[in-house]
Amino acid sequence: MSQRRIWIGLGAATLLTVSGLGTLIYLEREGIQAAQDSVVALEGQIGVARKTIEGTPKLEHEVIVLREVAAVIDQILPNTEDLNTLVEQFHEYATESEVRVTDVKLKQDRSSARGTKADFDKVGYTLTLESGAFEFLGFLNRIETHSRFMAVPSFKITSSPRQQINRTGEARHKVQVDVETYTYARKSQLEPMRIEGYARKRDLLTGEINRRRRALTLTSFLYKGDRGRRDPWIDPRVPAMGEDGGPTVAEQLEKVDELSQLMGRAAAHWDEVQRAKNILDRMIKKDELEELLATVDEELRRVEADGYVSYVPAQKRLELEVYEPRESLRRAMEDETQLGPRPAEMEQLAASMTRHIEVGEYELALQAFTTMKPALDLVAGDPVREALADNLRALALEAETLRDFAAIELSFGGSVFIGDAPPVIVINDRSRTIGDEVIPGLEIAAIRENEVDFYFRGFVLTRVY
Amino acid sequence: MITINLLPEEYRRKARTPLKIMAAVSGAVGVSASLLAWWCWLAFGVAAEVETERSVLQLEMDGLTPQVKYHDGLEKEIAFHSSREKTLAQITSNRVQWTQVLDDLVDVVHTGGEGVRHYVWFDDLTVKQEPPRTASKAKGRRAQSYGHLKANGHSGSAEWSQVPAFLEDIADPGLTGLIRTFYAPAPPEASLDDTDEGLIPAVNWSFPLTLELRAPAERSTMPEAK
Repeated sequence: MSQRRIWIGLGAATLLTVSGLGTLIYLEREGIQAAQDSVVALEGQIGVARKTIEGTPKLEHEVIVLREVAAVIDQILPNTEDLNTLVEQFHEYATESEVRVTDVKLKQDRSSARGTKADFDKVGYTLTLESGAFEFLGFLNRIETHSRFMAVPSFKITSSPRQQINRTGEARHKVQVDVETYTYARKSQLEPMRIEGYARKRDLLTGEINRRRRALTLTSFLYKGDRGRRDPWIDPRVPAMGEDGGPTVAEQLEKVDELSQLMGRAAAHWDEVQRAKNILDRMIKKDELEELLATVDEELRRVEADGYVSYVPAQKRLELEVYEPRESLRRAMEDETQLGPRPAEMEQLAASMTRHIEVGEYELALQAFTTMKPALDLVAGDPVREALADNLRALALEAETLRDFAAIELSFGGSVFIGDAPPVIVINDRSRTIGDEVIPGLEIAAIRENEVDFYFRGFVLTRVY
Repeated sequence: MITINLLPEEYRRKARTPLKIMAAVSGAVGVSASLLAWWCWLAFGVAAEVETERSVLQLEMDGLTPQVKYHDGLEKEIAFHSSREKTLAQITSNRVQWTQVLDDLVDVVHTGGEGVRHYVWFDDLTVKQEPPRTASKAKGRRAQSYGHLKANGHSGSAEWSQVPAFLEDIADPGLTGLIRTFYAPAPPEASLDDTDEGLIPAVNWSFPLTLELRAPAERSTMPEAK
């Protein structure tokens, strides 16, 4: 083989080998580079994943809270439209609040609450009613406090004409009210994630769950009715010459004046009752006050039966100056009766009973006690007055015992005292000594010159002879 | 030129690879060996090390993936549940308790003492609440309107000063909570109606009552009435 060929062969072989190895190296480096890129990417993904799962416990808490408050949300924004139930509810509310519904129309505007893709649809009704202002407020309040979210975006009240009120005796304002609510119709479904230790985690979040539930609960207003206020959509003016032969405004005002003065006297009398010097004085004054209030009640019954006061300002005065003070006075009297006697009164009675007992007026002492006896049970729970009540009961027992002891007729004869021998005395024509029972329940305790001690109902009582 | 070696076979000099070729072959083998060594170092050293590192990281990632999926699932569930909560918050924030508003209005009428301070009644009442989006898109004065309460009122007194007295009471936060819901009433205007001697009171003034609703956010931040 010629050298030239050898050189060519050698060159070609070398080139081939170097090229092959170079290619291998190149491919290997590419592979390494790709693997390194993959490592960098994985490191990035791991970093992101770690950062992501750092917030998992917080999300778990949020999901648990949301699942637990979902029931409240379901109630406020139900899944179903259920418009039949809604209309039935309107009917029930109208009946309860004495409102006459004359028209119920579904509103056509059913736009979504949050754009076209939202899961909530607005449902609106326009109701036409006839009612008084306070009946309408009752109806409105029922709608606004319904467990399902309902809002009233607009309404219109047109007052009842004067002639209609005169004819029917009641106001029937025309009311048109728009009521709207939302229905929830989720377009997608979701499989809930399984949370490990759900019950335990939920228990730890009870406070937060309750707080969120409270926050979701709709604010409501407690409507308490007319409370003696007049309907502002009724023309309150009255005929100057009286209606249908009824009293004139001047006569109505005069009647209110008269009743107001009677109540003024009753109030003054109540002050006197409060300032009474003793229990008897107090009882007498209280009786007089009851008579006065009975007169007021009688007059008010007549006024109500005849519809005597129709002029609104006169009605207002009657309410403020007669009805309300009468109610307050009645309440105060009832409260006092329920509270029982005051300590000063009880002390006063005890002193009085003691004086009666000291001078032998046992029956009077018992009479005084009888006036307060029923009220003594009301002081239970008040240690000071309970002690005073016990003292009064003890005094009454003492007075009763002394009265009965005094009522026992005993005739005393002669008595004998000889040295240490037990003394002997003749009582009711029989000689008796210490320990003898004169009559059942009356035992001789001691015999002395001119007096004998007896055991009687647990007391030691002395009779002088 | 052709050279012929005539020596017998046993005397001939042994045929040898020329030194140049030898050097060239050695060089080629050396280069190839170096390249081979480099490839081996890359394939069994660096690449193996990188692959091991990648495998470890992949294993770690495989462990984290279910946790990330769990996290994503929780996020989806939050979005699922919270949309209703957010909507509820949005629509309730705009709601006005009209029972309370009307009850407050009746209270204000009542506190007039039937002529002592004022003696008012109404022919009608119109309430209209406007959605915030309408208010924000509207222009001019309407841009600030969230709704209104309007009524045609009467003051049953010859003293026309009772009309401003009534409007003052409406705006009095110590008396009523109306001012939490509405801006102060429009300035007083009144016109004398025909006198009717057959009624008591014979004289009455007609007046318009106009109250503009405050923005929902403003309503919730207003202090409570005393």
